[in-house]
Amino acid sequence: MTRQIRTIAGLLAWIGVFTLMGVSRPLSAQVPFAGGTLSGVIDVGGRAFLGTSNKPGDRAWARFGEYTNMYDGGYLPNAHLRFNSADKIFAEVRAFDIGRSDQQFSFTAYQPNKFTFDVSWNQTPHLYSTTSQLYGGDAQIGTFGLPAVRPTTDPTIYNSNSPYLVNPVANRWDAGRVALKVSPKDGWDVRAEYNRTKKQGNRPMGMSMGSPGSNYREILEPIDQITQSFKISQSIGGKSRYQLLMGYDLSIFSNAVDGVMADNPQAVTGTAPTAGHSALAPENLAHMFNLTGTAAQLPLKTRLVGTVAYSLWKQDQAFLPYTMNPLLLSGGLPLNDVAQLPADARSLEGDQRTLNLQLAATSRPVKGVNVSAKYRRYKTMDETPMKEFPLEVVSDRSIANAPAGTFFERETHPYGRQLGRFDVGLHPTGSPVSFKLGWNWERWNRTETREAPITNEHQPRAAMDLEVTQYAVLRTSFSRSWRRYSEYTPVMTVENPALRRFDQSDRDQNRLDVVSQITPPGPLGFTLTYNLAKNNYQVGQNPNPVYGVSDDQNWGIGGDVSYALTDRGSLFAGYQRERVTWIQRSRFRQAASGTNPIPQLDNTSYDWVSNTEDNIHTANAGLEITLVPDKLELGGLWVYTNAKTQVSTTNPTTPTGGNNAAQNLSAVAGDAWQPVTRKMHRINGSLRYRVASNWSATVTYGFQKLNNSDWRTDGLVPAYIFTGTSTYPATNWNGDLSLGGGLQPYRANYIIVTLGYNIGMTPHALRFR
Amino acid sequence: MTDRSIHYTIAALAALLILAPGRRLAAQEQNGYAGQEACAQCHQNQIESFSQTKMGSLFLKHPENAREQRGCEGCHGQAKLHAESGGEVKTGLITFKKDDPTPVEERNQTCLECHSGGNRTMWAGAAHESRDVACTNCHTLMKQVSERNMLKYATAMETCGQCHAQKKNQMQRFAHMPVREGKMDCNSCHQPHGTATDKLLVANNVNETCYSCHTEKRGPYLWEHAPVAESCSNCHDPHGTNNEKQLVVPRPRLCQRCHDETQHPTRPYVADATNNMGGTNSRFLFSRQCSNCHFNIHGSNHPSGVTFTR
Repeated sequence: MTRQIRTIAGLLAWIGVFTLMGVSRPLSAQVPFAGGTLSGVIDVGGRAFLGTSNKPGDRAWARFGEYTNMYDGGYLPNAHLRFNSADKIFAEVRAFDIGRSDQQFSFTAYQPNKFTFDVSWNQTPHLYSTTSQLYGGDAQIGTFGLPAVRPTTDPTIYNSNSPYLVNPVANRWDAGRVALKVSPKDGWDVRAEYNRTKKQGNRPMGMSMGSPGSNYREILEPIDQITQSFKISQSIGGKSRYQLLMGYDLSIFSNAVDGVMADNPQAVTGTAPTAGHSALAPENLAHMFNLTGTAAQLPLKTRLVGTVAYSLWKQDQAFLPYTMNPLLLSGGLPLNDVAQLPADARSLEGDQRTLNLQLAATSRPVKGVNVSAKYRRYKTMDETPMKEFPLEVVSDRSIANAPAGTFFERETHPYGRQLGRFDVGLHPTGSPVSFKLGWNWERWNRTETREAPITNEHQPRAAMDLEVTQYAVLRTSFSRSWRRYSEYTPVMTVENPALRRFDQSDRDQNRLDVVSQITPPGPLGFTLTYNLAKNNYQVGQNPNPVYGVSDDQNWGIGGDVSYALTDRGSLFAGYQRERVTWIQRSRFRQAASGTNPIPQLDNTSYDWVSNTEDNIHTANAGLEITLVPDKLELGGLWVYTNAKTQVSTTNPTTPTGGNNAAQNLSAVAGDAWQPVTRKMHRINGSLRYRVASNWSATVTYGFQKLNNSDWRTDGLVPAYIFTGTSTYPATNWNGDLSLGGGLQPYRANYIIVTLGYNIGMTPHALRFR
Repeated sequence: MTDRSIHYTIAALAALLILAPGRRLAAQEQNGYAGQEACAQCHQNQIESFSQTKMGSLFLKHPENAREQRGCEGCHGQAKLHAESGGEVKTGLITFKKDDPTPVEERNQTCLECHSGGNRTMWAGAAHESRDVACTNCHTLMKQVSERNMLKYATAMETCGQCHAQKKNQMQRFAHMPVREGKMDCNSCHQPHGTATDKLLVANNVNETCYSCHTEKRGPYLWEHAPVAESCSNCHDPHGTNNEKQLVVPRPRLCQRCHDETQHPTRPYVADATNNMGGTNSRFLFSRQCSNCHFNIHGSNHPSGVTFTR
């Protein structure tokens, strides 16, 4: 560490010397090139950690490199070239992190009012875990084996058999885009665009085995997917009274892997599955059409906008068989053959459509008065042919037959949503106050497959903007809404009939937003914000107490302050405190069993109330300063977040009335779960020194520290032991195999040194990650 | 009122307005220009930095029309009086500064005269327009600050965060999309100039916006999970949360907002000194909680996937 400190001190000393010796280095001129001019910036450099103790270990890398490549080594962090031709053609090339797995490129060429051509490439890593351990093999993509004879039912042996470390569990998105916009004549633009995103790698997924003991196994979902989209659109009208926009998108999703198989970790008996088989995301495509027309300069300074958008989503991937378990038979035939599926139900022939209609009008009938109205209707329609199955297989384990003469039918959930909105804004000339009053109405129409076929919500709103002085603005808005259902019929008979799903339940909502921006003459500026949203579901026709969410609220208060150094940069800092709470009520419900013959489904003393609370602090501070004009710049950013999620649960009354004392005890919700905490520090500081008019050197110091505590995953091992009784077999292991992928805390200290060459272009703003 | 009568009424009103005779805006008088050289006498630094931008290059080096040929006065208005008074008089000028007395609507009209159509088609009546947000609240033209779109700050997140502070801070949370890493930005999902949706989404609703990248979730599926089909935001907050997968509430409480725990008891944590694990019904609480088994919760295409376990 001492050596690293000496290195940094040495660098700083040299920069100090340069500063003292220095004189301003004006930019070099643009370079004549191919009849035009060329300008640009290219940076070359590398990242190094300040010793191994300051580099996150392989197992702690997951959060550090979640979306970016943070490894040490050389690369080109930035390149930007711009070419201006004599005949008004401009071209730009931008690139970031060249040579690394998170690199980005873009090329743009354009001629004003003639054409714009874009090409871009963007790679984004998605790192999930660097601690996951997989037992068994996955030699074949999507097949996760285990030895035919399970090694043992003893979890300690499972774990000591050395599941191999999967480092990393990750996938990468490679997104490419080509777009061309041409303007055949003034006010007429035509655009064509092609996008292709390839996702490759894996991510965690679970698979239930169900027998014996309802166990599951966590494995890796293979990701080998491509999304392509073709878009064409045109805009007609430009600055004229009438404008028309129309477009068509075709989006195609392909998935090279249709399913995943995984061996059951438990030894099996009877028809219990030796393996499970899950379907992955089916291939699909969508056609999307849209048309928007506007008419302006209508009477009373009215402007009308109308939109029609129609989509058609198709999906017809072949179904997997009911099960891969050959021991499950129907009519004497094994169900692991797709031929056992009904002939007209071997693929979905999925056909879903959406329609979006909107008409909006804004008007300024007299000066200072603004009136707007909007009506919107969004509707989904499912035209998929009915799919019926005489049976289903539960977790590749057991057969559930539909009652005689009936079928398990595909349920669809099409819905319609209508929104009406009316606003009147008043801003008297010369007045520092402007008001806006409005009313929203929203109606959802659902099918009988949902609990509430119709809900109506009304929301009066008011907003006031107050310009206290020309340097102080206060923006406030308040709304209160009430949503009511026409009727509520529980559709899942196994659930508590008093349960109200939060998305359809009666609800009252209050929202308040306040933003105050104070920018007095001089260098200081302040912004203060406050927001509150409160939902109450224990209202209207809902039973009291309501089961499900009874209320939730979130509020945040914060402020930002900035200090401008005349022509030299600025200092800034901010802080926000947020609190989110969800209160919900439920009931411990247990069906009858051998030891507990009386079902405990509606024992009111088995109710519990849970409060989930997030407390979040976010702070930041930074600076951007030109120490010596055209010579030395300093920039820095510190971001700190401290978040804690706590779930506390209590029984309003002491549980009684169960089959026995033990069951009453097991219905006790008890006290709080351990909090989930996340604390993160990120610091970046950069010093850029203009060595010569064309050359600059930048040293960036980076620090990151994560403290993370999550009892649900910390210390998790593939075959984890739980406390309490177990029925299988005689140990406390319940037969689950997990990847055990918890996120580990880390600390990182590193520097990035870059050398930049520029011609006729100001080096870019210092960029922090 | 039936749906049909609502539609007919709205259509009739719209037709009435469209067919009514319009009124053209009065042409602006064109006199009193000082000329670009006069501006350069005092504002050389601004002109220098402006000339490095795309727009500056067009106005100052490659003008295409009369407005662009006026250079600074193409947007700031006639400056003859201003120049002759040695900068004292600012009457008639649009400075676009915070103390500019020019009404926001008028300031914005300066920009919209060239930048109408396309993404600005739905500007009128959209959330930002109706709250008198000026173009220059978000864009700066006199120097290149952002890599794209001439934003006031280096990134869209900082620019939007001027007012949407909570959303900006959410990006710093544990579970977030790669916005702060520079892999996407607010514009990936929102079109701040106005769209058909209240939240200014780029697509017709929340789900269609999410499906533009997460096409694997689009389906349609054999077994649909209704709240998923209605809105991804029922369970996820795309701006960032403290819970895995940007869930608004940690599982299993997330699922228990709609489902009770029949045969899936979720007893609270019981400390275990051995391995920090515990709980009689641990598989409902540990690791991926409900998704340990109900993996295909966004929808299943498996004939036996009615409960999203296959």
